[in-house]
Amino acid sequence: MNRIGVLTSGGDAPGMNAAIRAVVRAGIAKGLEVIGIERGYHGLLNGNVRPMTAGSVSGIIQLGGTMIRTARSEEFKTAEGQARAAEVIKREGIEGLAVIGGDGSFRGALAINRACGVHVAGIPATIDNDIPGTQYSIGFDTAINTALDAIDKIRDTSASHDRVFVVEVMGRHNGFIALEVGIAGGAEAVLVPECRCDMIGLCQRIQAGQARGKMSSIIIVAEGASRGSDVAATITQITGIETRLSILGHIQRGGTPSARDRALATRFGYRAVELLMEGETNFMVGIEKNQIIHSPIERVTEGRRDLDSSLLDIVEVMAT
Amino acid sequence: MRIGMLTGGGDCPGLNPAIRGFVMRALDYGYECVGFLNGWKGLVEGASRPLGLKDVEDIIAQGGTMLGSSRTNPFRAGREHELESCLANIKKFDLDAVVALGGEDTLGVAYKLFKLGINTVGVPKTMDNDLNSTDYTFGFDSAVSVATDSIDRLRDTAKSHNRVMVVEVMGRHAGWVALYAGIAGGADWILLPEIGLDIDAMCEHLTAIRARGKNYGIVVASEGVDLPHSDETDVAVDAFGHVILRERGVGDFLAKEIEQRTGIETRFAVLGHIQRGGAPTVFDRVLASRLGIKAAELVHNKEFGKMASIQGNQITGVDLEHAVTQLKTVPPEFYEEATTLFSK
Repeated sequence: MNRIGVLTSGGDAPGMNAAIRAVVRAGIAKGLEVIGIERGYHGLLNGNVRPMTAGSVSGIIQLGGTMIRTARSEEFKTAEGQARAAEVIKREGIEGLAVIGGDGSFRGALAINRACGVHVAGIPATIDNDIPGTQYSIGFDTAINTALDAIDKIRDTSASHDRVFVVEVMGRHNGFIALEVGIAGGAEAVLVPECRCDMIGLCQRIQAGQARGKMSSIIIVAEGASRGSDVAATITQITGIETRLSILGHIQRGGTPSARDRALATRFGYRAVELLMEGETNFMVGIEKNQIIHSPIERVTEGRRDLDSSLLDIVEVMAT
Repeated sequence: MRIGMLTGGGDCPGLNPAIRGFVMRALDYGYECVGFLNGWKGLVEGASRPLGLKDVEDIIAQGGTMLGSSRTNPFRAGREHELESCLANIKKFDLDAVVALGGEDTLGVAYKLFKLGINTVGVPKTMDNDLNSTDYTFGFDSAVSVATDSIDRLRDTAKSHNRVMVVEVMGRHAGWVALYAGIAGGADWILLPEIGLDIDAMCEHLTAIRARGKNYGIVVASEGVDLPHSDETDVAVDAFGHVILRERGVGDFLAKEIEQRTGIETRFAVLGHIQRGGAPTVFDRVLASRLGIKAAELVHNKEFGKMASIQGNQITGVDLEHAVTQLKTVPPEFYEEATTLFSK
């Protein structure tokens, strides 16, 4: 193998730059040429590629976002788009492709492998942490710390008023972020898409808490569970207590990546290059028990990671 | 001399350093300080705690207020009994003066008590920075720092995805937070309550900078921006049959408008009370400490009915009466200056 490509695809996550850097530097150290592909599959099928040097990834390990940008490409989902991408792969002499992204990005990797036989490696990066085959994805640790920082600030102010604070965090299909920050932030309750929330029971708990002198409550809502504004309005309606809403949104996607995310991304990128050079393809690197592992990418794109809903009980116990 | 102290209204970073500054100076004079809990409510109910050196020496870095806060107003119609207990407690606790830290409402009560013959002094506080007769209020700098930090994060992801990001910040009547965070965060458009909303101009601008080659955009808006259909609410029913009023926020509204009109993918964030918490910045710690010291000096000099204030870099005492009557809003020429910095 002489030449590999690297791209980032789907939603961005803090630590993607650290992963790009790792792929580029590991590749060059092992005697490969590394090509950077701009804007994910969209850039690939349009031939937006540039050679990377060890210097081109200097000073990016601490930056959020992705230096080679990302996009969601409708065109790549078509057979014609994939054929165009395959042509670019052939023309550029790319024999291995490292795809940094989530499950949609990995489906794209499988498609491009089918289209031209290029060896593909998946590097899981999504703040949602919902990819099976790894305990952690790049970006999750930073995102939960950003959300936690916001909750801590709200906690300062909430001790000063008799109020309920509703914080909407990311998580359209799952509650990994919500649950983790709920536990770490000492939330009264966490609403996740996976479980139905008993709003009346929650309101009774809030009222009981206030009756025994609790100053305020923080409710974490994953965006996929409900709109934060609806939860706030419902609580006010049932309890008559003032509620305040914060919607963190894409703030959780940005910012300088945490130490864990940088280290994780670097280890992932390094191992992905090693495995590509050993002739492996259609795999995703992951981490289990602090060991870097890899698993067939099909298992990743077809499976799903389940929320450990017993953790919701911990939230409830801690809130009493 | 015994001095009562309380914090009222919405809290903000800097209240603790101000309490500390006051107590430190009062100790120099040999005065005794008593803290009343949860604003005027504490004085009404006689809920207090001692305020000595030990109580304040570790609090300079803490957001919020160690004394708690509330919006209790003993002058509200029908609450005459509250005013009576408030006055009774001032006697019972043998207070020679009452120092109130707060915004318009809290200081308004302090002023009315002063008119009733109580020795009161005020310390201004509001993260909105909209109090008259002081150049800055503590809490504002911390709030703007939090907002700017959020904008920096949003820029990362806006650039990765070629998106426009709308950030809704605090400011019901005055746009100071949006103006400062917008300038510091390199916003491409800033919307304030003081300036009429021109969605067409904003969308044209966002389209133009994209055509020129800037692949993302940042819009900072005060929560108090006047929306064309801001009274519009749609009614929905939740899973339990309760009617929900779905209020359309500024961020949500603007993001949809921008995406519809320009075709550029747009997302929004609503910072809310995040801006009220966190450790106070250096500027707020120093300002709050100095205002706290000044409040103790005003008491010592028997200059009651006054509020500690910063003008230029001078800390002075001004009449409470003037401080609480008028709102300080963003002057149009300051906004003009900010528009120069919108990407071209």
